[in-house]
Amino acid sequence: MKNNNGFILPFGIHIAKRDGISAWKRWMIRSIAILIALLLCAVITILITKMNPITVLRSMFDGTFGAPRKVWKTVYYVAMLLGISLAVTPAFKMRFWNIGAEGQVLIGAFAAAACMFYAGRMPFFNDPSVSMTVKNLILFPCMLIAALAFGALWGFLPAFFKSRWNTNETLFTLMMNYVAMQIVKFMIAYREFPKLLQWSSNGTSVGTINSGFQSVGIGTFAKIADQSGTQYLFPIICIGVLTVLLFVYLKYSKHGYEIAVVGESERTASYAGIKVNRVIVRTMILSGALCGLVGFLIVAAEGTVSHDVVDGRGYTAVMVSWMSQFNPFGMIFSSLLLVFMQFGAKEVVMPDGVSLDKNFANMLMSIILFFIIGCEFFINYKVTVTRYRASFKPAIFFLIVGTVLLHIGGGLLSVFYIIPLLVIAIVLLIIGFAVWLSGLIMLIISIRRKVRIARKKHASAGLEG
Amino acid sequence: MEAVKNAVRMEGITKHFGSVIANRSINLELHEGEILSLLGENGSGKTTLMNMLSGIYYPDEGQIYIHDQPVTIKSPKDAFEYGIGMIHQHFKLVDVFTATENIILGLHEPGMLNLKRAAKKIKEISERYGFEIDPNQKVYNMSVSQKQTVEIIKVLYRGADILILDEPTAVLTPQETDKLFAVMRNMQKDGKSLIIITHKLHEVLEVSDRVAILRKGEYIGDVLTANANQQSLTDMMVGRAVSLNIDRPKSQQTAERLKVEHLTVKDVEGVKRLDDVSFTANSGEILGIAGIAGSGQRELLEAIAGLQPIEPESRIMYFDPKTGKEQLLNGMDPLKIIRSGVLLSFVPEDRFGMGLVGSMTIAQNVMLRSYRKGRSPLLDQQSPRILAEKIVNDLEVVTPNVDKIPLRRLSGGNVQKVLVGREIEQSPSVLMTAYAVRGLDINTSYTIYNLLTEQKMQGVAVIYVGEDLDVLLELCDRILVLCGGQVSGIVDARSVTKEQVGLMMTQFRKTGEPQKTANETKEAEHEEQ
Repeated sequence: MKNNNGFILPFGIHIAKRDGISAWKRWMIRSIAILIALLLCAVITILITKMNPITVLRSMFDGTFGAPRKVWKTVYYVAMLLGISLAVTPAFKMRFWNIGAEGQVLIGAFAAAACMFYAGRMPFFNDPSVSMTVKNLILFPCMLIAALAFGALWGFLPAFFKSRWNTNETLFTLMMNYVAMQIVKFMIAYREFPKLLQWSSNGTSVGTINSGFQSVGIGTFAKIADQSGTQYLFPIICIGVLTVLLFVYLKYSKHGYEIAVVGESERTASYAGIKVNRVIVRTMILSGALCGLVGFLIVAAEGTVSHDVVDGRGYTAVMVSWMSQFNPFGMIFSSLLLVFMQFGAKEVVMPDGVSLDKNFANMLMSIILFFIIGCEFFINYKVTVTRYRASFKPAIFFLIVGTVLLHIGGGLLSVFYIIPLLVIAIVLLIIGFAVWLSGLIMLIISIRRKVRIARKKHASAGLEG
Repeated sequence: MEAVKNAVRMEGITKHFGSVIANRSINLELHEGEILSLLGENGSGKTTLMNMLSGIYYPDEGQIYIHDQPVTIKSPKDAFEYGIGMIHQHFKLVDVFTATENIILGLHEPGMLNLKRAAKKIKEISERYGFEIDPNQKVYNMSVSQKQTVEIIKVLYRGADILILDEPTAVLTPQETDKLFAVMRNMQKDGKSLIIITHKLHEVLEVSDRVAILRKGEYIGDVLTANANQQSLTDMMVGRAVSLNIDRPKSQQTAERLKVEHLTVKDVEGVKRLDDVSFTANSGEILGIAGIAGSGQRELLEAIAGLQPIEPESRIMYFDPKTGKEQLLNGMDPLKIIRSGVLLSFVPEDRFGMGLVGSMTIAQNVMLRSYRKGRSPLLDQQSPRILAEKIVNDLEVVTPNVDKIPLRRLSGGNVQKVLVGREIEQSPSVLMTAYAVRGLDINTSYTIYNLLTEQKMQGVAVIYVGEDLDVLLELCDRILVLCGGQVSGIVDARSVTKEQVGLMMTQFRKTGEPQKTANETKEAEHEEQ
């Protein structure tokens, strides 16, 4: 007879798909995952920065919400990430793998910036006698329309090719990102640089199309009562409204229903009389146009464009969308978490004077994402320990391992003044004790069973006799 | 008395899938040299149980003994080592390989690859048990029953002495079934032990020595075939007495409702799936469509529903029941058909792949056909919910609610009731159903038969594509037999015999063979996905 357990583990692990889980349990699993992730983040923070994680967290918090200006900026960044996430959601709900948000936002931003740039060359916009309000009233709609149109075009192309020739949308949308990026790079280098001095007083802003224009102030959102950060108010409101609208669109509209059916099964959709290709193209135009809208908001709020103005948020947004399972309101929290991590880390200054940067934030973010996404496994599958068979050998093994761990942990305790080692020591002690204890329990159970079996044998032998 | 030796003994086998218990502490014995029928309704856990024996699943609890030795079967490879071979419902063969190549595939025989030696061994095996096979024939040139033969030989070649056949007759004509049974008896004489999974009672009675019955994952008991009859087995299977008769009243008013002429459908590769099919479907009549799986049944229904491009010579005419006006459906897509007021309902064979959306609720599925109504850009959520409640009440769908639980969570029978219910609620004048009772238990099947008959009596033209010839003969008024995409005959279901229909199903074998085989492969692939 073969041994059921290949390894020394005294039990088998059994994985079965769940066919339903209560909402309470689901959130429980998620919270535990986030808790473990935060603990791990804390350990890593200690190891790298040699600082108390609470201090780190506090300075992260200060960095994001410490001052009104910072709050404005954080909320604005959350809104932009949220906006892009909202924009990609209809496509993903349709199972159209649109990873081209990066390019769609960028081309929208570019179109808006181009409007500003060319407007700046027109005499009308340079005429001091025309009021700023009038200039803005003309320029903003132009920028918006241009951004929507270009974003929509960037969404339309892959969808059209997919519906007509069944091309792969993932590759197509990805390539369109580079096209957008190169166009922006080219235009900045070719159009902008020689003429920059015309518009800029200091000429340091190479790499932005309308940097010179910024000082003029048209085409960018005004600050309210000269409060720094208030120029972000309009974009934030815009995205807020968009969140509600998209929620309604996806959940209660006929279009939203069609998107869901197409996403689930194209054959079912055509059976129901839904024109699949039309829905794909329509949804991608919408998705692209919304990306363009975000591009417009970014340009109008920041008054500048460069080839990395989107800064990878087009990809992060895909994650946000999936993490929230396409629920627009859930995305608010996901994007808040991500922006908090990214912004906060920049503000942390290590004892040696070096401040942490984006890379550190990315590391922590990856850990958190790993746990959040990883815990979906435990939501979809049930892992149970089966065939618990305590026997001697593994029990002894556990006892030895536990003892060794306890020893190492105890040894490390003696250098308690080095905080990271102290943490490791404590972790080792806890794990070691757990292993040792389970070894002990296994030993007791196995001895008891042996005794029971022996008794039974004895009894049956007696019966036969 | 000499004690019977057990080839297989399963003791206390339990298997869970999520919260569903597929098998609950089952004790099953297979004696050496017997043919055991494993009988049970769909979803009673037959296949799960056998999959544990052949190493595909691993039991949560319980012990398996092979020839009275306790064993642990963790993989199909382990199963082969213990001499267990399973012939699955869906064949796993490489199309472009010959029979021999397929049979030795994955076998790491020592020495050089020697196809001739293998072919010789295959010949020996086939002569011993009475198989008819050409070792050098390519699989894509084979009929379903030949492919099945290859699968069986594959198992025997590996030295199996315990064979499990999972619904082997589902894809065979009556004549082919007889041949298979003869082979099975030869194997039995040779000392092999066989388990056959089936739910066709007359086959159970014909071929097996003993019947073991499962119901809802539990072992009900076994009975010697000699002491059993159809009624007693059904009662054991269902758990109470069931009437096995389908009521077939004759409708007084019949009129032409759908007229199909010269319907030809080619697939993407240009192969004819349907070749010059002509027939009429009348109101107040159930037109059965019989044929081996993949003979063009799906293409036929999908062509009428506007889901398949059809060749120019085809004509699909629809006669409006009220005005009597005729309307050409050629080249219309489903949306156009709906818009032009043609009352066509269609229950496709692939429930979740075509008829329903698994992740949506019953109410959301009910609105799939009607969500367009009204000018508002927003969905009407209220009336589909009411309709869903009605379907749930009328057809006794077991579900906790209609607007929260995703349809996928319901059992197959309830899902099918929702689908059929929705299509009937469209108050169709033509109702097409493809394998409407596939995977359903006996009770639900009879519910569906009654619903179809009810529709027929209300003057609907019902088209019923089925696979069980007994049911087709009892339920339908006329039967159209398809063979390799061609009509081999339209017969009166009240007077024709099963053998006649069986013969017609294979009549065009010679000419229709290559395209039929290609069709089946595609079908099998589709199923596996």
